[in-house]
Amino acid sequence: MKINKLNYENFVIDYIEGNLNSDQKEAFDFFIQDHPEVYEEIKDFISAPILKEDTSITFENKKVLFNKAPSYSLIWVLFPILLLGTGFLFFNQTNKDVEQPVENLEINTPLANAPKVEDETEEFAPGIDAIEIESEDITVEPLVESIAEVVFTEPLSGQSGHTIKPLKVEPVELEPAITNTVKPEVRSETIVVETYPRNDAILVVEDGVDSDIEREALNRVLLLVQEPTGLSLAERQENISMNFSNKVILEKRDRNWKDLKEVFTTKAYKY
Amino acid sequence: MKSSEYNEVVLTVSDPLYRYALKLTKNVASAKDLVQESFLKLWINREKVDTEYAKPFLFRVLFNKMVDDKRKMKRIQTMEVLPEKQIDGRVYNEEREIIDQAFEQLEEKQKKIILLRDWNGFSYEEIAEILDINLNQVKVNLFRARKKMKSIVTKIDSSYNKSQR
Repeated sequence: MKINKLNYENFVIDYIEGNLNSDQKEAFDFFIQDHPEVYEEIKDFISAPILKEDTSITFENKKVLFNKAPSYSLIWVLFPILLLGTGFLFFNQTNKDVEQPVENLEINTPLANAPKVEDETEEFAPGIDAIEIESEDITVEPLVESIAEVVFTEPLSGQSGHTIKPLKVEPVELEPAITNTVKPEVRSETIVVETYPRNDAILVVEDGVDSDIEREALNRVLLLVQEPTGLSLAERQENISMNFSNKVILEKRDRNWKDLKEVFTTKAYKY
Repeated sequence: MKSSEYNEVVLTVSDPLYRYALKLTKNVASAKDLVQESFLKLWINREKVDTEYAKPFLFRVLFNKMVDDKRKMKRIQTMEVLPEKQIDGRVYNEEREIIDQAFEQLEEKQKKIILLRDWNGFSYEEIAEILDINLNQVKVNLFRARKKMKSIVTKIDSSYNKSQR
């Protein structure tokens, strides 16, 4: 190995740190003898001041970096509750006659306005044509919104008021990550929404977007994306500034807020 | 990487990552953004990144993001840049100031290598990986950077001594 003025820098640090093999070291020693200025350079290298790190400078707002999502252990806690709840609902409906005027029934579910389903009694309660519910002010809502949706069937016209048929509970799988690309028909803009099972969220909007729109979009997206978590509206709003892990990317091109809201409202339950 | 391990990385790496970004950008908002975006990328890739590689991963992501931002900044020159001597409201002492002046005269690549090596203790191989250059380039640039710093500090010292006489 020939060490010369052109390549000596490739070896100098290894020479100083003692990482050259014996042949290379010997070659470098000879080279330094012929080039004392390189020896001076090595002395400069060794005695060069070290830039001190100012450890008092810290990243203050670490909470925005932390994973805020519920752990899977929470899901394991919720899952048995769902099973028990589903069983309880089914038990109640198959063992009690219930009279319940439909107009008093309060339905707190995103699918309240879903299309009515044809008679599916046979599928869930073979041999029973209709179940009547007697409670006066029943509130029907999914026990664990993140893993079940409730679909309501067509009410029957009973002899003493309206009755409803059994509820159909449809499990919804938690998927590792879903990407929805929504391409509105009229406009050219594209919205990409990526959500993750742990319910983190981030909103990235291109430069130049009005900050009010950005804030409103963040609010709206988080409310929709986080709906399955079971957090109350107040909790979701409180968490808005912290939840920067669910990745929500909006590409905004010539869009106004009304259109954006519409798109997200429409697609909110399809994550 | 598990969630708990990710949070541990936040605790241990966010500060040095922020200092690295702040030193190079001299802009608090940019440095914070860079750190947040780097951690977001780590979170998204947490299944693929082992905890032990999280630190070099973060520095690599931050470096790439800085390169991207720099390209954008060539088009939009609107960033508010803090005065060199006052970052994050801190005032440097004289010796640190001199070394800092010397550091500022280094080439960009040399600055990055110095910070990765001296502040964060990365190996030459890790630095090569983070900056996407070969091992020899790391060593040669580090050698030149230190020599240059020594030479600049010596010059500043001697001119200061002359002015004191």
